[in-house]
Amino acid sequence: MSKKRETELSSLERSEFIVRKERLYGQLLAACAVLTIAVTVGIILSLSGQALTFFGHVSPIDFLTGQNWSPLSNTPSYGVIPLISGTLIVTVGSAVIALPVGLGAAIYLSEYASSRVRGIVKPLLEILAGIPTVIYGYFALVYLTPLLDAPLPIRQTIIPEWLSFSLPVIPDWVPLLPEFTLVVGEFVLVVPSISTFNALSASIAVGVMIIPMVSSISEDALSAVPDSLREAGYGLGSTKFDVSTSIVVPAATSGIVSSYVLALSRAIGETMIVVVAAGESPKMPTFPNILENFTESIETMTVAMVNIASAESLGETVAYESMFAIGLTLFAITLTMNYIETLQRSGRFQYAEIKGKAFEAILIAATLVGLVALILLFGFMFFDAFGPLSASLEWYLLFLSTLVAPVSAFTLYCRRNPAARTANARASAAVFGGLVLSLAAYIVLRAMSPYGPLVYLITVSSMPLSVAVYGRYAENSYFVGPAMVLAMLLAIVWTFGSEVLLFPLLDAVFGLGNALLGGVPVLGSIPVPVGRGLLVTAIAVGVPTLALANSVLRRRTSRAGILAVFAVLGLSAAGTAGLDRLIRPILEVLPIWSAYAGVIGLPVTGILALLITRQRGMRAGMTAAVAVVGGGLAVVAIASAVSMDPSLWVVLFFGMGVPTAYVVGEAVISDRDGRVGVAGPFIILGGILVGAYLERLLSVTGPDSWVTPTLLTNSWNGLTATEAGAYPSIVGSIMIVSFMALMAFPVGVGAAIYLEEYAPDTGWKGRLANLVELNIANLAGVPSVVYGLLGLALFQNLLNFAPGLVFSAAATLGFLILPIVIVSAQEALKAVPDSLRQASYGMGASRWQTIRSVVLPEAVPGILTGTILALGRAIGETAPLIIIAVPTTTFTTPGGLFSSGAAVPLRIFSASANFAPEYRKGVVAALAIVLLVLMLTMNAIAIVIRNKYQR
Amino acid sequence: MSEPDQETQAGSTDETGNSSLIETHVTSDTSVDTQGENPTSVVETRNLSVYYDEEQALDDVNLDIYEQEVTAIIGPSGCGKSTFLRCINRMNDLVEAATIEGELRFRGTDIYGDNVDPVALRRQIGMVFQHPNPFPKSIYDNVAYGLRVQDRTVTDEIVETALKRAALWEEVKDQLHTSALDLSGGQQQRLCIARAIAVNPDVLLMDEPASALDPIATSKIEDLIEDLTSEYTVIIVTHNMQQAARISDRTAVFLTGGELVEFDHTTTIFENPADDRVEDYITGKFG
Ligand SMILES: Nc1ncnc2c1ncn2[C@@H]1O[C@H](COP(=O)(O)OP(=O)(O)OP(=O)(O)O)[C@@H](O)[C@H]1O
Ligand SMILES: [Mg+2]
Repeated sequence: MSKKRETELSSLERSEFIVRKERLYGQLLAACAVLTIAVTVGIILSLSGQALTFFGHVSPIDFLTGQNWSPLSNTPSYGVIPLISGTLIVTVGSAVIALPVGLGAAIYLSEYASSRVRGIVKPLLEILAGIPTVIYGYFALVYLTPLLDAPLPIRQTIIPEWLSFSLPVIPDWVPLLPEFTLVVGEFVLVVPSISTFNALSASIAVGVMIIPMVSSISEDALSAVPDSLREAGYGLGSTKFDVSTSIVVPAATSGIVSSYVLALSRAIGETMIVVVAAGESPKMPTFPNILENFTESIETMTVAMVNIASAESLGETVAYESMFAIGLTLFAITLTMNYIETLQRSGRFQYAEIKGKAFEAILIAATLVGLVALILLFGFMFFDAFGPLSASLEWYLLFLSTLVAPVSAFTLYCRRNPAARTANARASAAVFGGLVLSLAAYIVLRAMSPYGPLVYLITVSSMPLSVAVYGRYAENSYFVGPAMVLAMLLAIVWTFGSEVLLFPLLDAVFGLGNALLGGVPVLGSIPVPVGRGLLVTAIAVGVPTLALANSVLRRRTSRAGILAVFAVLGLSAAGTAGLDRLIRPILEVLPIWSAYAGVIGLPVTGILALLITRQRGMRAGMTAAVAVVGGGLAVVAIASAVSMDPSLWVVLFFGMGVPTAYVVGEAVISDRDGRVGVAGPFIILGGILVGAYLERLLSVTGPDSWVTPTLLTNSWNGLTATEAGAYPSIVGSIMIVSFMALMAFPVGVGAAIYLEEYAPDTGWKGRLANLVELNIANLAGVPSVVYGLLGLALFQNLLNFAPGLVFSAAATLGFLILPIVIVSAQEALKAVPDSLRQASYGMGASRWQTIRSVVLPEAVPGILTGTILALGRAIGETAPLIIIAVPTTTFTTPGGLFSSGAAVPLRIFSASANFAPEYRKGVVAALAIVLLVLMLTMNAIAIVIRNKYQR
Repeated sequence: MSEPDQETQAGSTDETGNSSLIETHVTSDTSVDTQGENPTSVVETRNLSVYYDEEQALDDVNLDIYEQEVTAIIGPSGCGKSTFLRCINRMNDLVEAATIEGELRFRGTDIYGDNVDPVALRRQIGMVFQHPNPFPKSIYDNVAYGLRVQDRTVTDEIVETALKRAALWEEVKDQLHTSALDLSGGQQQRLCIARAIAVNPDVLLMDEPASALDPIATSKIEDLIEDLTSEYTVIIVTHNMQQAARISDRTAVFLTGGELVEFDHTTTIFENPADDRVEDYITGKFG
């Protein structure tokens, strides 16, 4: 007994390295959180640095009070008032639409709509907020303006005499007059015409875009009003109208105000809509006929920035610097608004005394505004992109019978059989998700040659494997985790950017060392390039060696362990020190399909083997792996036999075929009720294939669509609209978004974990955490153009990168989505019930163990949902890319992270400036549809994940 | 012979002092437990007060827990029973508002001492919570969780033994790899007990483990607790007087304000309490 006690007593003591491990992890996570402050500081520094030089040339007073903005003319003038008033016009215009409509929709959804209606309408409205703004701009310019510009007969309508008497006499100073002039004497209603670029359609588009911000946030606030308050109202005999207007809305005031402020701040910072639709003529506003301002072209602050950024070869001129001055002004304005939002100023809202049904009808109408806008937007573009009217009736009948009918029948069946529905959803996710991801991976790999990633994959994947071995022999293998991340980063940098990123840095470090050690004979005489090589090796070998030494010193030194550890070190050093150069020539002897197969197939096979081993044991796992490899080889053999390049087929086999087979197999084996459901995606695919085959066979006239394989696979050669394709931009977009996700995801999730799980409420750390949270909220409200300025200052001015690199674009957008990722990951972590953490701590788990094995697995679906939505937003971002000079037209695909890229939204932007109808209403519409479909797919995936795991 | 007992007396307040005296007499003639007449105190509490911000939850508590006994803690809602348990394994460290004064010793070591790692402490002192809180993992993984986080080898035998002792094995042996969330509330609670005993702790804290259970499941858990005392020291919070009387060796009665009014052998508490308020509480006159 007493002996037992002794061991227990000693084991109560703090274990040195558990403490150190916990501290290390906490610090790494805290670093992620603090990075967000660095982003803010970076923004402020980059803005104020250039702005200060600007104010050296132009006095701040002249800037702020000047009434003429013409930075690019021969006699430049830098008065910002016209720009501010332009911004104000658009903001006011959009507010007039969005604030009442958004609130009405929110009240309808929260107080009147059934939960089913709410479940459908709310996400539909939220789609409006996710549509790339360049598409809104295009929509406003090409569809909205002609719609608003009433044709001549309507514009000058003669009013019947009897009507004229019922019209009140409108005094001259009423702002409405010039817009809809009623010349009473002649009984003519005069509606002035609208210029091609005008503030009105831009305002409407901005208004539609921010409706969901108002409606979603307000709806959340309204739903958060406790039911007991409503019941109290009903208990006193109030009507629904009374309860909504006099109890619920006042109780939710602060939430509604916040939604207004956030929406307005978004409208102020909106760039692309205004760039595309409102033109670029800085103007002082006219008074008192305010409406006149809307019919003409204007220029906002954001437009001015884009104009300067896209003016060629400006260099460090005053005009260039003025961009930063505007940025600073914009930043200050939006920051103030966000600050106001956090102050939660409350106000009171008055409602017209409309009662009962009328009120409800108005609310429904408000909700419909958003939906109608959505339908119009998609409808117009859909028509122009696909040209559905040009197809023959036979074509419709054909696809009705091969695709629509079977799919509808199947959907009906699934509706009655929930198990089949789930199986259908899973199979569809595997088939279509696999298809999209495989194609994306193939495209990127083809652009950069798959050998580099293969080298990288081999070295990096050797690390977790070897750590598994390593972990058996070293107790504190925890150190290896962070060391591995470091090694991976080094490997990435080496593979993709050693020339641009790593070498200059190391040369600088070594040069500094050289200078310091100038007197030391040997070291001082090493040439810088050699020294750089030594440094790379030292880091790559040194970090894992330190980890090893650390563990060996603390733990029994079993011989096998040490051997294993050295094997690990050799491999990771091989990876990080860039034996790339050594391995790659060897690999390049292999046929190219094997490189594709390696990059996609190795991880897929590994994951599959692991999954099956977990579920059905080692043997089944191994069998599956062998089968998959065999299948891959068979695909290659068949493709070669019919003399096709096997690369794409191998990628599709591993990326789409294997997951599909897994999901289908699972369902067939173990899901008795739902197994029929897996047929869903195949019915769709089969329908399309059979339809397409019959269409050719029977030579049926299909629609004259602009969405063609050419569009997706051709380069933009600018000759004819039918030949033009967007392939380089598509490759660029995929690369930008994937590298952006690689950068923003770990940091964002790390910061969220720190804020939710580590940061205390009190003390200086608590205050720091509060500051970080406040800062994140503010960052989320900073307009995207301002992030563009950050990227410009950081990568082009400070690091001297070439303009418009894929890397700069990815990093800039990474900063942009960081706050969104953090906030959504925080939400997901908050949703994990505390009782689970308690249970884990109660079992003697440490904090990191609790997070890793209890909290994170629960939060992953939520984190993924938020991240995918953020990626969907980034895919359509345009303005920051223009600022960092990503080319809007490029004819070659980017060859890697450090080459100049392009992106689909930029393509839309530049093409929408082309007035030829086959561009305007053809190619651009088709591209917009492609982008929209991409974004919708991502939203759909996010929603599927959210619903699947919602408890 | 009775060094720990003397300690108890020395550290007791006036109120409990009397009962401690009685206790030394009674110890020799009660045979409620399996151990000898020399009870070792595993947890010693001296002048323990706990505050949540300004609000006091425990008021100068002195209480010893003896090895291989079941100690029941009873008292009206909000009197600080859970707080007391959560002090013993330092779960209150996770509540930023909580401040702890006084002294708590676990086998002689100051639980709140500078060198004591709460994680290591919780590996010795297991806990079953008021509401079942299984992890959203498989039944097997739930039981194995503690072993895994403590870097101990997981064997099917350990899992099976733990589940058998928690009287759950027969019901789940064919579905060990299905989610624990699919179990009924009572099964979940027994799973939480299995999870806690799988790591073989020294002391087991149970916070109303049977509060959500039907009589059959409750009696299974009571049997289990009696069975556990051959190896473990158990502290159990309960609102059920009969349960306390049935399964515990000693009983501590807390009353509102976090005051420990009486602590004695269970038979004494239920048959001949020294304090009127205890009698009132037990017979249901208040609380
Ligand atoms: N995390 C906390 N923060 C603030 N106050 C708390 C917290 N936990 C408990 N309290 C307060 O401390 C007092 C004692 O709570 P405790 O949970 O220990 O009571 P209990 O005896 O277990 O009650 P019950 O029988 O209802 O479980 C209560 O007044 C409670 O409000
Ligand atoms: Mg309690």
